[in-house]
Amino acid sequence: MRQYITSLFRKFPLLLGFIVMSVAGLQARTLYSLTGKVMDAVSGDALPGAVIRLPEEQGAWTLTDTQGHFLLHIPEGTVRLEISYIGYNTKHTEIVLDRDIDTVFFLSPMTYNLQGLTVLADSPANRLRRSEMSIERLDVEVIQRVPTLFGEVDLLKVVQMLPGVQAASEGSSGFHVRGGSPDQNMILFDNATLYNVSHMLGFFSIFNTDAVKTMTLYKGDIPARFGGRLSSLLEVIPSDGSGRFTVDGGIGLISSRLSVQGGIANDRLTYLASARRTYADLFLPLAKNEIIKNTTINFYDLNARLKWKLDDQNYLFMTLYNGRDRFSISDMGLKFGNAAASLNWNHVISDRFLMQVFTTYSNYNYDFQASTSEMALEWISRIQDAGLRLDFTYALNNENVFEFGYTSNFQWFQPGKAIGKGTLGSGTQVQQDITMSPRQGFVNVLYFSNEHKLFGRRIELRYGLRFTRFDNVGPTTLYQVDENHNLLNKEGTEIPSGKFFHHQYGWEPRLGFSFLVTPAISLKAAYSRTLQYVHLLSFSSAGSPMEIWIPSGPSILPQASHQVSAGIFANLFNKEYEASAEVFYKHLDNVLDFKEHPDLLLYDKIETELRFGKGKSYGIELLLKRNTGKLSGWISYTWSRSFRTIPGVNNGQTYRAPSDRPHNVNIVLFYDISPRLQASLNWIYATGMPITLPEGRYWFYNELIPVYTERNSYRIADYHRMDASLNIRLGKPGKRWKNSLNISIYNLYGRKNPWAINYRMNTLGEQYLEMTYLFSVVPSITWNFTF
Amino acid sequence: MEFHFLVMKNKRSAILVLILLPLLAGCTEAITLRSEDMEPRLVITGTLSTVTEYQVIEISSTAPYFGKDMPVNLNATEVRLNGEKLANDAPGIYSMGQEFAALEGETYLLEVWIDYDRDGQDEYYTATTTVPYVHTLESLVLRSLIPSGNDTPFVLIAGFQDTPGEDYYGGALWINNVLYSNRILRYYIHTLNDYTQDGEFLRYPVPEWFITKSLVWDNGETFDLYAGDVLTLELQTLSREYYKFLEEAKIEKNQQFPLFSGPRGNVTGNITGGALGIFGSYASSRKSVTLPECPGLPSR
Repeated sequence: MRQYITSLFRKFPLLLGFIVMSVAGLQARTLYSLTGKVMDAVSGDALPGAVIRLPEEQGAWTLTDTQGHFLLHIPEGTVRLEISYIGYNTKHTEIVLDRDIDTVFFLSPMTYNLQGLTVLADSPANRLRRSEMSIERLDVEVIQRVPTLFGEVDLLKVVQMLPGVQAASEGSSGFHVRGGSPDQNMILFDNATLYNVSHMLGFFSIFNTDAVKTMTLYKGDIPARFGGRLSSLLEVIPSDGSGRFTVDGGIGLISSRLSVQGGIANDRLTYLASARRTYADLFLPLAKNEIIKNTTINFYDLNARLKWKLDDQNYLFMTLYNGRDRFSISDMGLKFGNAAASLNWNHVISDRFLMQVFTTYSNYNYDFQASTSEMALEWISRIQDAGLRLDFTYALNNENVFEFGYTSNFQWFQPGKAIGKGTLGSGTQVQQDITMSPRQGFVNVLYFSNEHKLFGRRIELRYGLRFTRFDNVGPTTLYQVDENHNLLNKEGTEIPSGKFFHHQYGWEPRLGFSFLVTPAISLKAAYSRTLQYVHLLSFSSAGSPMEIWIPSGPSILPQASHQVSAGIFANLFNKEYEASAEVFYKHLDNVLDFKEHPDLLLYDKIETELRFGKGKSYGIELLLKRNTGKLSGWISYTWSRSFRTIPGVNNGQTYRAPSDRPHNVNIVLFYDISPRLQASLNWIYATGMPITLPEGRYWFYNELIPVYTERNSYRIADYHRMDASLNIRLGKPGKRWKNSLNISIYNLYGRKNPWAINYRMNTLGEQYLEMTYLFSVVPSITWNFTF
Repeated sequence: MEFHFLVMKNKRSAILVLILLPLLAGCTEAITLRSEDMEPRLVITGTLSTVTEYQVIEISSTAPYFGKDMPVNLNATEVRLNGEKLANDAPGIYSMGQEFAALEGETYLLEVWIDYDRDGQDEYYTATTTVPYVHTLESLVLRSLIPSGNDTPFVLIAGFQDTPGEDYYGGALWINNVLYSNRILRYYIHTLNDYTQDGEFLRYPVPEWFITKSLVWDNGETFDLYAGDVLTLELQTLSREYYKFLEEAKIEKNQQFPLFSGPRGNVTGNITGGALGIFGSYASSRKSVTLPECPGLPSR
């Protein structure tokens, strides 16, 4: 389907879409212009290539252009219109033409899956015209072609190969976007906020790509309807499933997965259910070592998605996710995981007016346990987020599409609770708890934006404003610090349940501009301000499961950023290639770091450990992308710098942020050798991570104590890695039963990339550095099937 | 009972690393990365204790971190403690005599005059410490961690009366009068600031040492234990600045893991004038216990 529509567009370039087939005889009457736009009623995307036809006037029809716009000249009177688009329900309507009319038609998608359409709506020509920039969209088909680690297709590993994005560390799910820290990335799964998306300590992400349709990464120019993080928004859209009953699955070295999808009630209701489970630990009982034999390491994911078409104006969507990791060794165990749910309602109010209602819930928690025969301890932590979002899209006319809405999220933070149980010598059972005070945050947001097209749509302006108010709500124990980070109230102030005791608010303007210089070249610029009211208390650069989030408060300021970006975008060689160059500058206020050697563990007075300052990032991102042909993929180069200046850290002097890695190259190539054989190859290069190294030492207590002069002033070795994969389609084509074999090699040439650096001393008393690396060459094989 | 949180707070990284080991199976390799050599800096270290013993202030200069050069001691022009001049017993070593004991609750002022930058004029460095009050170690018992209760591993349970408010504790272990805690990483520290049993009598399991037939010793060797060996625990009540210094020094000497470790940083001292080091104090109380005959311990 996707190829068909692509070829259709090649045969009928943009201008042909405006050809009106006039009919003799019509010329005698007064002609009026009927202009408008055709949009997806669910996603709000423009639909290029939609057909607008006058069924009673044989031969009168036109196609929408790449922006979904159309123009017809029609005699006055009442006319019946038929608007159709492949994969969408045909719309019939009547219009009284007594003047020139400009209108918008929303088409509802059919209930079977047409992934290609999503890609086409986001066609190169469309992307060129849009004022939005710094956005990367990937279809799941692309994600699934990238070589894998241990055979697990991982959305976040692919995200890390996009320009301006870098992995937080080897094998990690965490990522830096334009110099930001990993906690500055908002990750939404069907609009539910996720706070930790790692499985197995970051080696895998929670996203089972069988249950994912697309992902969009906003690297700074975040739409006004979204916010809450400084650096990026990663929006993951679950797959709706097709109406056809299909079973997909895969069996890999460490995990297997199975998905079922189908439709009932004439496909008015479609469903998709997907499960994944690792089983590496199934083989551990075969080990000779008793400890390893009794070790458990596994995770599972369960996804479910329902899409229910109530009528042409109303759709309901429901998404459920549950995933959990389990580790246990000897008498210790760690369990952590996410649960997320969303229930969404799309309602087409009129041809011009679309309403979307999102209700979401997410819960991330972990539970660490250790025990002996006499005593036991348990440490639990939880963060929950419940949200409501109302989005309205109103097409005032052909030139203005307004979006406005309201978002509300209530967040419960239980940073940590430790429960100790034991038996005294007398045999008495006792229990003692240490609890970090719970904290609650309530965020309310109003937003408004408009996409305004000017000068025949050569210029597009996008302007919006987002107002956020953040309230702290009891119960909690409130600690406040002075400017020297000393506690003002050592015992804390008890805040009763439900009491709103502090609030902060802010304005977040968003501006975007695009100018179509030629049909193949556009210039764009954008400005955005974002605020972040929740903060991650973690040193981890690798997706530790035992993370703690806390909200802003009287002594914890919201982090803020201003980002400006500009770029030139081009479609080359008949849109076969897309090229872009973007520059950006980001200024951060109240950016958070910790004092040196902070105490973050179960410490209720955490305010004393935090330091706030300024940061800046800037850089240039170059991208060359090919979407069609036997050889496709992208090559990107990013040069960027990122710095922090925080009183109390590094003597108040500016220092490199952990994400400061100036050079980054990503090469991701896909090659269709034959219809049965597809090869993929990627190569990643990044300047080594900043590291703090001692420059001096002195004796104390029979130990040599290191002395540092500047934070992050050195770098570890550069990171580079090549991965390759081969996908072999098995069986005969055209059969319902399809299966394929994916062979992947991670780290093809066995590069030893540093994961940790530690100090060592040889027998002569000389210090040296020792690196720990995780992976050498890691081959894997996965068998995939569908029927 | 108090065991749980003390173990947890201090052993979290170790516990999680244990969990990670089967998963990670990472390999190590020496690398040639080196830092530049910094300009040498003056270091002044010294701790006062309430035990009557030979106590010293040491003055030295830093050495480059990488390389063969070691820090060297330096003589100062003058070193005074509460106005009294200290004897220069050896290069960079200044003592209060062989029989010195700091007094509980007393604040001591250390003053050092030294021409460190060799410009012909002395620079002046000072630091103060207030000696904490002794928390008397009233009981010391060995508790077995196995169900039968009569075999290794044992943990030492220290019984003492806590005082309300901020208290910083340290623990040093002697085995047959040999100081086992002769390195920071084998020395135990803990704060009970936020402890819910603040001010109560505590039976405090010291999680730093799990007593088995062989303990970790230097250079990959073991310190072997036998039935009948005498373990002596010194319960130290540390001055706040000394506790903080030890806490940060332990972090610096521990291994780093990206999952849990923060950035490296200088250990915070309390010497004014730009010198590194610490002038701290602690109050001491000791008690001993004898290792029993049990299946897990050989006899001498």
